[in-house]
Amino acid sequence: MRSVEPLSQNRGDNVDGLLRAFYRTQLPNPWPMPPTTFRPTLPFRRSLRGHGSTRSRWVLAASVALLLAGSLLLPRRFTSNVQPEPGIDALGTANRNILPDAPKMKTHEGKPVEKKPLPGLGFDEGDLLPDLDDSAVFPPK
Amino acid sequence: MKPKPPPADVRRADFEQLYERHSREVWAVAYARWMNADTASDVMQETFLRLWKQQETGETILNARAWLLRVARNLAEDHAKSAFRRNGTSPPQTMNGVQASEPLPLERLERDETFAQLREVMEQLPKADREILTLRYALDYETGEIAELLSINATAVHMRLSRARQRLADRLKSEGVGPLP
Repeated sequence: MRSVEPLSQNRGDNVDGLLRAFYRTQLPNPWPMPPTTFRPTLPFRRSLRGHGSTRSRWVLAASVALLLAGSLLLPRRFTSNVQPEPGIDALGTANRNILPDAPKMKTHEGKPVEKKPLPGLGFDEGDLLPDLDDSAVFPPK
Repeated sequence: MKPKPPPADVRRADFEQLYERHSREVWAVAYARWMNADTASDVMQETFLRLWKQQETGETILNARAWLLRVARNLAEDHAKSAFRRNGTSPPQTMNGVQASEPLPLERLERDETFAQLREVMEQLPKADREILTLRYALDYETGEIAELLSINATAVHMRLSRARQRLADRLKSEGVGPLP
């Protein structure tokens, strides 16, 4: 039984109907689920034998040993039978000492480059500072 | 000595029971404040998250319903200070018309227009009016339930509800809002 009565039959019906229809469109449908409050965690699997950690340590040690052995032995295996080419050592890098003599650089048209004064200065580099004796710098007392 | 808390699944079940029982009231309180369904849903979710956190700390809440409603009211008020509100966005209802690529039936358009006008009018009503109207018409609560929720007696509920409807009807009339098509 509804104990709330409309104000007047006509206006009350109008307002009631309008409000009911309005709120029907406003209410979420479907109603949202409650917020997720926790993260489901997978149950932690413990080894029933109790020495799972020992076993994993042995596996880790073996893996590291295998890795070290591989890194030491494999390069030797591939490099021991290779004859280095002239000018290239066993590691494949160029060796400057055993390269044939490179041709020396030639000057323009085989002539030596003339020493020219620097443009705008009007004298040679050697003329920049005149020869001075000590008396010019340190006058006698 | 502090009593041992119940297991997690029991706590979760209790929480879901509280959600089932009170989430609509919490939504209604938030909705009455902002007249926005999305905001009300956000406030509702946040309120229950806080309830969960509170329970997880081991503190006992004697009256979960009162606690929830108080937190929801505070959160709804705080929403005004949030950046989201400050920066301003269009409510989803406003954007629906923009996003729709296909034309809506005329009747639907008229109905949406009427609801938009009703929303505007209700936003001008006092908060207490919106709250009691929401409880009555959104949740379909009876006088006794409203009285219990608002901690007032049945006569006061009758009076408040009557006045709220009167004010609403007067404003709808002055705004020229007619009945639904």
